[in-house]
This record gives sequence, structure tokens and C-alpha cells, in this order.
Amino acid sequence: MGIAKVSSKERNREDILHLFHSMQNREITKNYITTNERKEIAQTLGLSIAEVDGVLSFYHLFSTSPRGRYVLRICDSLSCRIGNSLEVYGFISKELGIKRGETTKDGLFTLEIVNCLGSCDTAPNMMINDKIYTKLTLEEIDALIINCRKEVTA
Amino acid sequence: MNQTDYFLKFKNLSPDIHDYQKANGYSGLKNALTLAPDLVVEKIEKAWLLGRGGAGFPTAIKWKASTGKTPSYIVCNADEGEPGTFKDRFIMTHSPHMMIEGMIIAAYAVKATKGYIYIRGEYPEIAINLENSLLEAEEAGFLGKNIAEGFSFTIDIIKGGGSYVVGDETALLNSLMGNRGIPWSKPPFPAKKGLWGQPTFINNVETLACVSLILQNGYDWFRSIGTPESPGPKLYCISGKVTNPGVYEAPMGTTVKDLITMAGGVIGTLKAIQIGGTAGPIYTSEALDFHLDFTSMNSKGGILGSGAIVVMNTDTSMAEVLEVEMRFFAEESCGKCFPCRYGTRQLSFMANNIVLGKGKREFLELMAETADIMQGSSFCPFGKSVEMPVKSILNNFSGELQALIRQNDYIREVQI
Repeated sequence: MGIAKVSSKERNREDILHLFHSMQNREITKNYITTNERKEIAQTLGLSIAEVDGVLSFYHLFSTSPRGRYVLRICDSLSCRIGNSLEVYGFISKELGIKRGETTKDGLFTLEIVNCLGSCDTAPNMMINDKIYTKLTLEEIDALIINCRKEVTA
Repeated sequence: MNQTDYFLKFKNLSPDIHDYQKANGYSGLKNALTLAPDLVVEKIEKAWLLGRGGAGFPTAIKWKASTGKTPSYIVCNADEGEPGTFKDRFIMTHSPHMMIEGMIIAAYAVKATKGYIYIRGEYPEIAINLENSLLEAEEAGFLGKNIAEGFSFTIDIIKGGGSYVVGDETALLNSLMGNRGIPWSKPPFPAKKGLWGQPTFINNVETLACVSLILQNGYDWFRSIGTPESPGPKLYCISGKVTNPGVYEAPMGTTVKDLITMAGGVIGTLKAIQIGGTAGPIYTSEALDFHLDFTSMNSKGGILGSGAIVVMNTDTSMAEVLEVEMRFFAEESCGKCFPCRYGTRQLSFMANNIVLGKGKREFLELMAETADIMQGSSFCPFGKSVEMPVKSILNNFSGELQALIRQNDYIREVQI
């Protein structure tokens, strides 16, 4: 019951998404899946690395290259665009000095654009790692970024 | 104006099982368990429940394909990814047990022993809460072994990896089995050969919640709401330039105008409305009089889809709308078939250039042609559906796009 646990039964190919999620979030600071982890998944499931990579590369949420401790996912679907998502993007991009797909030099933030977070009535929206932030104002974004930085130095 | 609150009332209740049971929850399952499985299917057929995920296929017709072969599976499609859609998020946040009850009833009706909730990876907090809801249902004896004599059923949650195409049922099954999330050509239909070659029944979150309501209140009640062809209450998602965007509940067949009024009206002057999600057409104010049910929308050459309504006012640039939507399709195409893989990229390229002021005069015609070819030759509904938004923007807002292109052409010529 619950999110399919790999430990509780024989490991099957259907566990691959669960393994991707858990490997990617193994440490709070990581946010990507390493080459060794991909090998580990292949071995666990009895697949070739090419097969694992084939599945992995299909999905938007996973990364095989290092990302920041905080992955900022700005929604830029129609409702959010109407709700000023570009302004949110522009503000963050300027504040952090990075563009879509890039990571700050200190390894803290990665900036991503995503297609619909399913919260169109609260546009503009953004996720920071697993948490969604809605009806964003520029002041709030500023505070969120400061909070992330504080969390790291704490 | 006729609002209903069979779903919305849960907004003020906690999502836990006690609040749900106090509101008559799980009485539908208890009713179902007193009947033979075939009779449960019959009730859903008499209610004429149409799938709420977007396609509007009769749920009972899907279920009737059940032969009792074991193992067979129930999959709840909670991969809500259609831009403009957030109703399943609402149900899973406020009344997750309504969906879970529907899933258990469905399992009993089609004699499935195992269920999966495939929830999109972008809803991690909801996935955690659902896990608690499943434990509650298990403790209450609604899940697990011997729920009724000879009926055992368990549910696992699978978290997606971020993909729009996986919302398609066969793509979802591939993804669930650990493959790339690409669709397969039907037949075989999942009800005959789905997960691991076994019968699999896939229903959307809202559809399963409706199953609970029907078994709680009877099919006559369900048919007394909405239209004869599309009965029942419906959750509509209104976003964009309205005063109070959100989830609204009203009978099937409610007009666009009434829903926008419920949402507090348009901010500024209405310019365009997209109905049914990104794959739906973009209309001018003509759409205000449309009735939002499957039959009426199809007769207008559109779709009800997931019930998404995005409102745009005169501040919205249609070139920008075109650019956002074409980029969406290009990024989400799974790449399996050529017309979609290449067509979406071409469309995105042209839309991007138009919005950047680098559009060429032949682009509009080329975009229409590309969309037509994709409609005729793409492998799955994803590639075919691109035609509706493209052609409707080109038809309804050609003046705006042409002006943008023409102006740039001439500016280039008169520059020194």
C-alpha cells in the first residue's frame, strides 16, 4: 500500500520511476541522478544502462547533470503567461544571473521553465523543489530566495 | 444560474476519512457490495457516466469488456497535465476518499484485485497525502483482504516523471510498467490487454469520484442533472482574466457565459476563450453562448476536454498565445512519430519568429498546412489535436498576426 516500495517486494521494472525519484532526492542537495546511480538502477532491475537512460531521458523532472540545491520551476503555460510568468522569469533570471536551464556558480539554484503545474487559478506559479508557491509577487520571490540562502547558511 | 456542490462542499471539510464518511462517504461502496458486480456496471450504464478525463467515453462500456480474467487492474489516471486544468488537484486535495471509494467500486465491478493511482510527478505533496488516505481506507476495512466475501483489493501510488503525453491511457500504461511513456495503437484496448498483457481499466480522478456519487445517490439522481446526452455535475476550471479564477461546479451543459459570471466576470474587455485545454480551439466572444457538455461542444467542432476554460482579454497578444502553445507541443511531443515530432518543432519555430517580429508572410499558410498534415497523419491524439488551437488562432485572429508580420516586413524595407 502506498507509494510502491522497492524493499517490500521483488524489484521489477515498474519500480523504475520510484527509483529515479528516490535516487534524485537521495540527499537534499542533489537533485540529479549520477552515472553510478544509473548503473545501480540497471543492475537492480536487470536492465542495460541504455534501457535505463532511454526511460530516464523521456521525463522532464529528472536530470543526469548536476543541478542546484534548489530547482526553481516556473510555469509558463497559457494561464501563467497571462498571469505574468515572464515577469517572474525575468526577475529571477536577473536576480540570480542565470537563464533557463542554468545553475548558479555557487550551486544553489537551477532555473527551469515547465509546462503547467496544475494550479492555473493561482497564476503565476513556481515550484521550489517539491513545494509549490502560488500567486507570486516579486517581493515574495525575493523573500523566497533569501529564505533559501538562509537555510543553507543555517 | 445553476450551481451544484457535490464536490465543492468538501472545500470546507478536512480530507480525512471521518469527514468524508459524515458526508455520506463510502455508503456508495456499501451499496455496491450488496449487488452483483454486473449490476454495479449496469447502474453506471444507466447513469450514462461519460469519462471526465477529456475523451467523454462511456465508463460502463469500458467496464463491460471485463471478463473476470485474473489478474486484472484498475488504474486511476491522476496525471492531470492539460494546461488550464486543476480539477483533479482539487478532488485529491479536498476529497481524496471520493476518488478512492470510486476506485474500489470500480475494482469490485470489473473484478480487479490491484489498483494503481498514477499521479503526476508535479504533485508530490498530494501524493504524500494520498498515501495517508489509503492507510485510512485500509484501517476502515475498505481496502486490503476480504473487503467483502471473495473481494480483496489494494492500491499503490506511482509518481510520474513529468510528461504530458503520459496522460494518454496507453502511454500511461507504458510509463507505469517502467517503459518510455509512449502510446500504443489500439487495438489491443487496455480492457483486453493492458498492464502486463492483462485486462486493465483506466479512469480519470473525477470519473471515479462520480462513480462514488452515483452509487451513493442512485443513477436517477445523476441523470436528473445536466443534459440527457451528458448527465451529471461537472467540475470546470476557469483561469486567466476573470475576477475569481478557480474550480466551479455546475451541471453539464452550463453555458460559458454563466461560468464566467460565477467566476466574477471578465477583467477588462473579453478577447478570446480557450475551451478544453491546450488541445482545444481558441474562440472569440462567440463561445459565450456555448453549452459546456460533450455533445454540444463536439457539434461546435470543439471539445469539452477536461473542462478547462482560459479567458483572455484585450491585453493578451495572440502571437504570444500561439508561441506559448506551440512551444508546449514541441516540448511535450514524445517523438515517436515523424509528423508530430517534426511538425511541432516547425510550428514552434514559426510562432517564435512571429512573436519576435521576424515572422514571414508565408508562415501563416505554412502553419495551417503543417497542422492539417499532423491532424491527418500523427500516431496518437496528441499530434492530431494540435490542429484545433493552430487553425482557430489563425482563423479567428489572423488580422492581428498578419499586421504583426506585415509591419515587420515593411519596417525592414524602410529602414536605412
